[in-house]
Amino acid sequence: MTVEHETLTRVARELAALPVAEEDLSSVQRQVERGVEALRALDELDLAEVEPPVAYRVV
Amino acid sequence: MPELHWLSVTELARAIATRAVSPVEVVRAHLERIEALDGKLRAFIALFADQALAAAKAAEAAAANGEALGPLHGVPIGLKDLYDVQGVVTTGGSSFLDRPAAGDSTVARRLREAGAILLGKLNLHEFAYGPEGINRTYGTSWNPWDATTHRLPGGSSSGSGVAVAAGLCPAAMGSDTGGSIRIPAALCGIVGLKPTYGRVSRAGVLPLAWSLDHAGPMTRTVADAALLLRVLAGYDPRDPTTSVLPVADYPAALEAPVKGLRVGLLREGFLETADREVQGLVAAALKALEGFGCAIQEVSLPHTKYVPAASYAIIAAEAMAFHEPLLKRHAAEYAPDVRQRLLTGQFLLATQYLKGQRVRRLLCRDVEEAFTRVDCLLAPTLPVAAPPIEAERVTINGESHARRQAFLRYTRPFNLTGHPVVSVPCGFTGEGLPVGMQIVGRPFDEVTILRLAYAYEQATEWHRRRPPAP
Repeated sequence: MTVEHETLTRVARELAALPVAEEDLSSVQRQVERGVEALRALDELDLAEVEPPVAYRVV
Repeated sequence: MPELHWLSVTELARAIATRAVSPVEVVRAHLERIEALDGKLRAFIALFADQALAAAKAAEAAAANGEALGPLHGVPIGLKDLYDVQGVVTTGGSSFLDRPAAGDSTVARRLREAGAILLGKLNLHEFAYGPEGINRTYGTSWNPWDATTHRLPGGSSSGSGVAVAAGLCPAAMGSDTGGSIRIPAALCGIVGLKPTYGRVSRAGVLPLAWSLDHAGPMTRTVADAALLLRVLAGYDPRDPTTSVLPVADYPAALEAPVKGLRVGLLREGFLETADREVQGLVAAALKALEGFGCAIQEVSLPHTKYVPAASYAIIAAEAMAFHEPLLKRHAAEYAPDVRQRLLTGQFLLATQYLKGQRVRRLLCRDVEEAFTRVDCLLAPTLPVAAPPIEAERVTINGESHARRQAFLRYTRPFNLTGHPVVSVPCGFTGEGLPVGMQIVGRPFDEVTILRLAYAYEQATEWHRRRPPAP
């Protein structure tokens, strides 16, 4: 899959907190693409009964 | 008596308590060694020479006056530069953090209360976000096992690994979010202990990823790791993730027999993908454990293949959440590799982060299931020994792999699960570079992994080898 530079800069500008400088774009693009690809592999898991371990203790 | 800088924490504490040696001599010996070697090794970011000598003189007087002495009385210890020490800037290995810490981290306070003398702050991969130990601001620490080629020390606790291995301090504190204690420990030929999540307080430690960060000691012997854990472990109201479970007497438990312990070998996804030389050394270690009467059986963790994705989602999101305000003011001052890695975190969806957290639960179940059949797990710490600093890729059994992914492959699973792990030296490659293996325990069962590591260490000579003079 590919993520266009334009998409990254627009998302960064309009939705995210920080702009991505020109010199970082290619590296960030590669890492986002690799990350998205890796995360897609999680779609094959059945997580219906799995609660994330992030619940706060009351005390 | 051997040279003071090669004595262990346990030996130094005993020698100081019996007044066989003065803390002033001990601190001077280490300062002289740092002066002689650290220009090349670049382990220290800040040295507390005057304060350490003053503390040593006070420690000497206390010993002479017969005062009650703590278990680390007069022993110099270094801290990765993520740990706050009152009045000193915690740089995080960066060029721009410049505010002195208002107080001590809980770890620094507990070390002082036990009588330790804080020697200085140690180098690291900038903000602990990298397993190689590269630092462009302070220079990348030099792995002491190769005097001629600049090899990676491993990270992120690179200065801690190098300083302990080279005899600049007998012990140091590291932190471990994806392997940052165990990786430099293995590549530098020392012991690295990642305690159970919640066993050692992280209050006053600059975070990388809150739900994965662990604080722990790096030492030259297993007994020293046990001694430091005894001092450091326990509930801390400043860190809500710390546990109220009682702290064991880890040093006293080391000598208990290991006969009958069931050891689960992680082959699938771990040993089988390591370099053949590493495989051979771990196989020899397994034979030694069998010789002690341990029962070895293979176990597998079916969800291991999802670890990189889950780790990525969690670290990227949590690290960016912490660094966002700093990045807004200092983006250009970050190391490019760290800045770029951080920026990817803002393109993650909250649902992806939570998916990573749910996968984490599956992996915990895998490990829990394995622990119904065995008492500890065993795997190499890394698939390779220390590569030269310029090698962006490493060759494993003839195949080229991205260095970063290869370094993290075997350590990251146990940051997700939070289980305690000790990495101990298990031999040297043909090139004379150290190799480490991990022993993983049940939650809060540091006693068992330290006991097994100690038995193995006592039966081998790896921990007695010293790196060549740089």
